[in-house]
Amino acid sequence: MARIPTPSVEEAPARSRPLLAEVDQRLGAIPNFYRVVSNSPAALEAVLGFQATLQGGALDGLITERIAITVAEVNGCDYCLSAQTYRTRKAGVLDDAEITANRNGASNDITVDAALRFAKKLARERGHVTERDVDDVKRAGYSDAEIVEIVAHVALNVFTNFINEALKTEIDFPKVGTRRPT
Amino acid sequence: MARIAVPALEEAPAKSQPILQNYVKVLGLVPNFFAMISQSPDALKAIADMHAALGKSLGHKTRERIHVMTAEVNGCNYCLSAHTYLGAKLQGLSAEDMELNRDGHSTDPKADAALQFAYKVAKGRGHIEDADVEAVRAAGFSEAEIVDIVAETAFSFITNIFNNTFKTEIDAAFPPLRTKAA
Repeated sequence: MARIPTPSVEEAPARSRPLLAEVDQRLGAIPNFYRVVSNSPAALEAVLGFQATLQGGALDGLITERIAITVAEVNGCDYCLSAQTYRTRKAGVLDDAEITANRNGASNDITVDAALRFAKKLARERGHVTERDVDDVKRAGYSDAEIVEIVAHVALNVFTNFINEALKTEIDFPKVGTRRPT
Repeated sequence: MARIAVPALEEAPAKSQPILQNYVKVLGLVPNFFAMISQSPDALKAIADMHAALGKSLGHKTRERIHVMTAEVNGCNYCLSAHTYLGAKLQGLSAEDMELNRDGHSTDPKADAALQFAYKVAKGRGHIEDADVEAVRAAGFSEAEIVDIVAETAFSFITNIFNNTFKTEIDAAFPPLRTKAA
């Protein structure tokens, strides 16, 4: 059970209701993550805004999905890994070998691989990477703006990982456990 | 020197300009952190909007305290310098309070409970105990505020990751500080 309430649209604070309804319309359901966050309309607005803005960014959506898998594994967030695995399987865009590689911070696509290696190190070391790590990702062909967005995606996932772990959001997807002992 | 370019205000992408101008208005300068991420207008907007949205709830003093704490936990000299300066200048936090903040405490008893909770979230990357949530609730924080404390902790992690990754140069306006970990 979650550590704080997981409200329905009707039970949520008034200012959160239209935001949850929007999620429902977009995804066809309201994942428990958004319900838990909706206890604070300010936090819900913050996270939905961050996601929407980054989606319009320079990075390909298929890279950002994989960054989410990498970071969930590093932070040991079962909720996020389950949700992300479900999403990518449902979309049919990544095969199981690729998802497994992504969990390890790697990819079978060489350009994506550079981004995921960088993302894994960033998440694990909380940004304490070397000059060489930054150079490696530049050499793989990413522009400064794209590198900034890789960091932003890692950061966004750190955000959702922390919320789901700290508040123990109930998993509403087929469960995929991270390897990190919790 | 920073690891990626830090554009001057007039060199930044047009889409980033209004956000940067707003920092000039509020802070009297564009901190190097924002100048750096302005290369990706979407990343800049995502961060700026999240910052603004989270400000609607928790109270600015405790927000600054949380930023001082996570900067210490994550060994981010840039963030520690910036938030210690801003905490005093904009929020009137005392040096004594901010010294305690660095280790997850505060001179204010209610803020102390928030900081102890946030410290555990930051240290454990969200992996905390039921008792931690009960303790912060017992100190008088609502469900919304509990979400906000986790959200603010995660948000400050975001800025730490950015500034550690790119070794952002500490602005001349911020007296430079070093974390114990760095």
